[in-house]
Amino acid sequence: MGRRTKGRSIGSDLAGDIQTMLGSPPDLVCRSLIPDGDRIVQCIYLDSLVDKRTIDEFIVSSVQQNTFAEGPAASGNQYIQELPFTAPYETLRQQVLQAVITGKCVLIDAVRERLWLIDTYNAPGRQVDEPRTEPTIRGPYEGFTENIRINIGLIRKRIANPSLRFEQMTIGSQSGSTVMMVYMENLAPETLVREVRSRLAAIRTDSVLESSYVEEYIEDRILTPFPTLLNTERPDKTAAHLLEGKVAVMVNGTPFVLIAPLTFHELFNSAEDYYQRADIATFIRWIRLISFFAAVFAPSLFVAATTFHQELIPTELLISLSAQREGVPLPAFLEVLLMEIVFEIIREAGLRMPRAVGQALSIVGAIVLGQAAVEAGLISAAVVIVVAVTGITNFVVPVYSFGMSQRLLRFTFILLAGFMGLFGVLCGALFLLAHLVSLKSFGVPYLTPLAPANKDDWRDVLIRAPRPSMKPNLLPASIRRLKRK
Amino acid sequence: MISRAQFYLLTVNFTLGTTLFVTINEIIQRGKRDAWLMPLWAGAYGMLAALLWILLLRSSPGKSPVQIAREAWGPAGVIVGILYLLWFCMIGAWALRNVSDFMNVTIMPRTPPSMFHVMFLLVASYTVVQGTETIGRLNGIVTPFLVFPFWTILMLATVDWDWERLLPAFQNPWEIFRFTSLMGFPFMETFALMMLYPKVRSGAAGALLLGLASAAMSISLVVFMVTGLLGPERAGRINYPIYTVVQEVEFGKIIVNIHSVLIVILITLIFIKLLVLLYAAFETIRELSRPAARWPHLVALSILLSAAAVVIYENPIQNRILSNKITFAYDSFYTILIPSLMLLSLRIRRAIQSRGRRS
Amino acid sequence: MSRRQRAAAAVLALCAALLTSCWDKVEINELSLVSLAGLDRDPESGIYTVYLQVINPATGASAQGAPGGEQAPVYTYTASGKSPGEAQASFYNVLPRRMFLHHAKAVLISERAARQGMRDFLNFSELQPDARTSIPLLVVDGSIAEVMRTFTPLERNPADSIVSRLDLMYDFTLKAGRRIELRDVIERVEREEMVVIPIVAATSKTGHLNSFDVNAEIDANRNQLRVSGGAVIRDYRMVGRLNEGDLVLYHVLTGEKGRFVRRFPFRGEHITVIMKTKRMERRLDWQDGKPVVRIRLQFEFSTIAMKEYFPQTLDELKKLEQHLNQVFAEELKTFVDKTRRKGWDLLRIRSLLHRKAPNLPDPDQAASEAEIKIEVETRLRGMGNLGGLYDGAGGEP
Repeated sequence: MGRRTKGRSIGSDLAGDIQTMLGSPPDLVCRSLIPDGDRIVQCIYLDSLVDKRTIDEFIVSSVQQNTFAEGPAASGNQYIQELPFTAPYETLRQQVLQAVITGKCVLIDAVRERLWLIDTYNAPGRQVDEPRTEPTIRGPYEGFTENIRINIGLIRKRIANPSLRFEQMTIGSQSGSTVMMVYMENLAPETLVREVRSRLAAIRTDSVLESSYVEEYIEDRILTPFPTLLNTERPDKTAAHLLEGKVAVMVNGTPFVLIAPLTFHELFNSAEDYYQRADIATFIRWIRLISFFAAVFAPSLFVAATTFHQELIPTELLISLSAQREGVPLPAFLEVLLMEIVFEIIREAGLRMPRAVGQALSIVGAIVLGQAAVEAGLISAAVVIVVAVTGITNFVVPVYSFGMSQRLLRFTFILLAGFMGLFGVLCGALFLLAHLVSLKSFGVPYLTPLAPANKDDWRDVLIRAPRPSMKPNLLPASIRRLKRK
Repeated sequence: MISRAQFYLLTVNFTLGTTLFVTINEIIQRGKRDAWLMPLWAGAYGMLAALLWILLLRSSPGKSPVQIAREAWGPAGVIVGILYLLWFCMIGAWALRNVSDFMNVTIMPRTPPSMFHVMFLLVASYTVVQGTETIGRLNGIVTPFLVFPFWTILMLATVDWDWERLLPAFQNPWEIFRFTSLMGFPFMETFALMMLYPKVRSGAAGALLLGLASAAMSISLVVFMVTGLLGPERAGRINYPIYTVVQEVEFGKIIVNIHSVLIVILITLIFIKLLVLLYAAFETIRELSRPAARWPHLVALSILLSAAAVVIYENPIQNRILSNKITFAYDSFYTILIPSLMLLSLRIRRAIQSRGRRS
Repeated sequence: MSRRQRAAAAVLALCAALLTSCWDKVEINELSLVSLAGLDRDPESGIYTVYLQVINPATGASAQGAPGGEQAPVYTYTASGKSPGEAQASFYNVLPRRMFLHHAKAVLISERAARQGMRDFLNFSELQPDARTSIPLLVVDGSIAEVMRTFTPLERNPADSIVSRLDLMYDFTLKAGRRIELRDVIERVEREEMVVIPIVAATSKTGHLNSFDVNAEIDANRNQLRVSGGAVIRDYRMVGRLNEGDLVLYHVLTGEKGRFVRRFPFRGEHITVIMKTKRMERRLDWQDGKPVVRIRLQFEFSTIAMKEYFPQTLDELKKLEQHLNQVFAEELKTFVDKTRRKGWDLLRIRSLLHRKAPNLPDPDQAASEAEIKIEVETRLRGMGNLGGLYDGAGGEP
């Protein structure tokens, strides 16, 4: 492209070029404002991404009334940024294009040779709402939204501390998504911050539409059923973890925030534990632990006991189970496996279907597959009970992604139990434990503070000690470990 | 690197490993009512042997016995290393065979023994690949789940306790010293832990000795309880006395059979033992040949171990004769003779070196 | 091969192993749950006969409505052979499901087999890993075949019925002891001690009855089993019997804890006392080179069943207690002397001597020469609901 003369032409060229480069979208607005006779100020923005009130009431009116600030705006300012008019046209065009598609309003004063980018971003989206996946009875009802600005505000609201740091980066060669790293500078270990930063910087991908995209790139080990990063849509939970010295990663466009590092016992904690009385919270924590074991092991132990180790079952129960099984065609192992699969199908169907047919599905699930199957003698009643128990206990877990891993483990253990009974389950359990102790999340052993053992921290693991009896300002063992390094 | 506490727990669990399974009836058969003294005495001997090993490893800090052998004897040390490798495999195979024998006799009579071996080796190999820390932590996290249920079950069994079974006491106190193989198995076998010794952060020596002492006391207490619960007449004849003790416990009418819990505990203990042995064997290979990949060697080791476990003895009677007659001499060769020689030649070599430097 | 391919190969191999077979797998409804085992040996032919009573699960509590009322709650299978193992092996000629012994509740042995010696049976059952030895052993008086084919009312499973009765008899009458299990017999006999195990017999029958008839009949004393008396075992052989009264004394003297009812002569009449064993102490002394065993027994008694006499003053009570002490000690002494005359060492004096003085040259001799002294101490603890008996005098003295 040949060199063009400065002045009037650059404004109209730029506007025209951008229009062509974006393919003349319907929401592109190019307005020519005329503050006084000879001057024309071009105003370019995407109608769908900007806050029209700001543009009308502030920018347009101030330009037209000729009261628009003409002083040299600081270049570091995120809100109003001035680009040097003397820069090469190519660069200028690229910058302006980028600005337009990220919701900025571009003002071009061709006569006075000035060019401003004004942040007027206001994409359509939800307002702050209740967190869907982690509801609580007591505690704040606010959840993160898809808008990263609002999310930042939700965190700031809870931590009024100058040490709170937000580091923004853009990931995704095509999507150009905004990813934000959040931490407390005075609390978070330097090694951890550096590690997260470098892992984020190493991501090479075309798009980041949800935080799980990032999660898969930065977690320590991919071949594991366990989440090694915590995801939450609760700002209070995020703030609590930040105050423990952890690092959060936010992605624009999703309410789910990632928190690193994660240790295994934190999967059993819910935000509400800290809003309830300590004794109740402890009790509930134990209920969760029991539920975890029931969800993972109940069907496999049932299979092991009924097909390999009948001597374990009390006589009366054995007689009753034996009577139930008279005429049931499938072996107990297949019975359990099939029912579990059917249950998973019902569950998945329940998640994806339109709300209106939900009633019908639960009727089909409960009556047809439970009662009718038992009455027809296809499935023994005990199996239905076992499957129902595992299904319910699975919902107890406060972290959804952990619930998914439990489901996977359950099937593995059923297979092992059907293969070698209790011995198979034992081998599986040892394998699982070996896997868990070898797992790390950002350099922190997954089972901290149980293995390696750290007694000081047990006050918030198996019990939730009352707040006054916890050591004040004690960071969790995982973070202290990183700080020592 | 593992911590002192982890090493201590490893020592205890390694020593208890197969002992609680296979030697209890042998001990009671020989010691009758005073059998509980025998593990204490054998444990004291084991601690003496451990002192020798500690002396050896302290003479070259940070080195394992295999590395020390190479330092002391150069290329001939490689042969010693290979001998140790075979010895570790041998004990490992023995432990595996004990598992499958036990499972076949008690709750799973028709499963082929090799299935038990292969499953265990698979899990153990995975753990060994993850490294020393994983072994230490795994053992640490498993231990409470072994200790509390085990002693709870034994305590619950004391409803059948009868002091008369332990009387008259101290009838022939010297009889207990004649069961020498108890010194070899389990106490001298703990030499395998010396492969882990250099990986302990600090205070490994104390942990090892304390671990041996605790294990000896635990075995003694178990023998004492089994004698008091079954009587020496039955306990000496039954193959797996602890199993029988627990099999006969009844809590009310509901929980009649809790012996599976015990089976799980005992088998897990053996798993720990196998884990340490596999690690020792693998570490020996690594120190001898420094391979780049880990899995091929572990697969080879697993195949070797599972095959050895099948052929190590033909029948339980042969096993008893083997372990009674040969164990002591066999284990002494590896754990007393070779270490003493290594220590001696190291001392001589250093003495010569320092003289050479002085002159 | 790449790392991933190798991992995939390993997973495939594992799956293949998983799919092959499950060797020890057996479904619950392929098991025959044995609840009671019966053993017999014909002394002439030497043929062993084994009876197994198998639970019919269809009559248990099932999820599908009323249990099958017409079906028998248990079925008895019989097999015989030249050895217990052979007999066991021929069960599958008649038994359609796998034998499952873990839940057996009791073992019966016929009197003739017990008199010939039960060591074969005990060794055989200790050899079986799936047969528990912590279940009671009973001797059958009369035909074992008949006992094994007798239904019991109320508690429809005969094994449950027997075990439950043994518990009740122990708790309320002391006519059954605690140490009557297979393992106790083995342990005691191995220590050269004697042991007494209960006896079971079939009661009078009104023809051949099925389960429905037994459960429909009002007279529950007929057509069922009766547990009473004790068989004395020495060296795996039954050598004699104890009647119910003696059985109580035997249990008292061997330190079993329980309640029992006893009638004593008192002032020319009899009184009935409910006694509870409290403590037993045995002490060994030596007098002139001969062992003297002192047995001190403490009892608590209650007057709940004493309809004949009611002590009103402390003095009267003291007299009653002293009287009981004396009479009971005499009764016990008579019982001991009677059994020792038969050569039975029911009090296990020999073992006591062995424990306390292991270096005696001839323990058998010493045991038979030992003098036994019995002291009884009773104390009133419980009273009934009355402060004094109705004596027809309207409360006037």
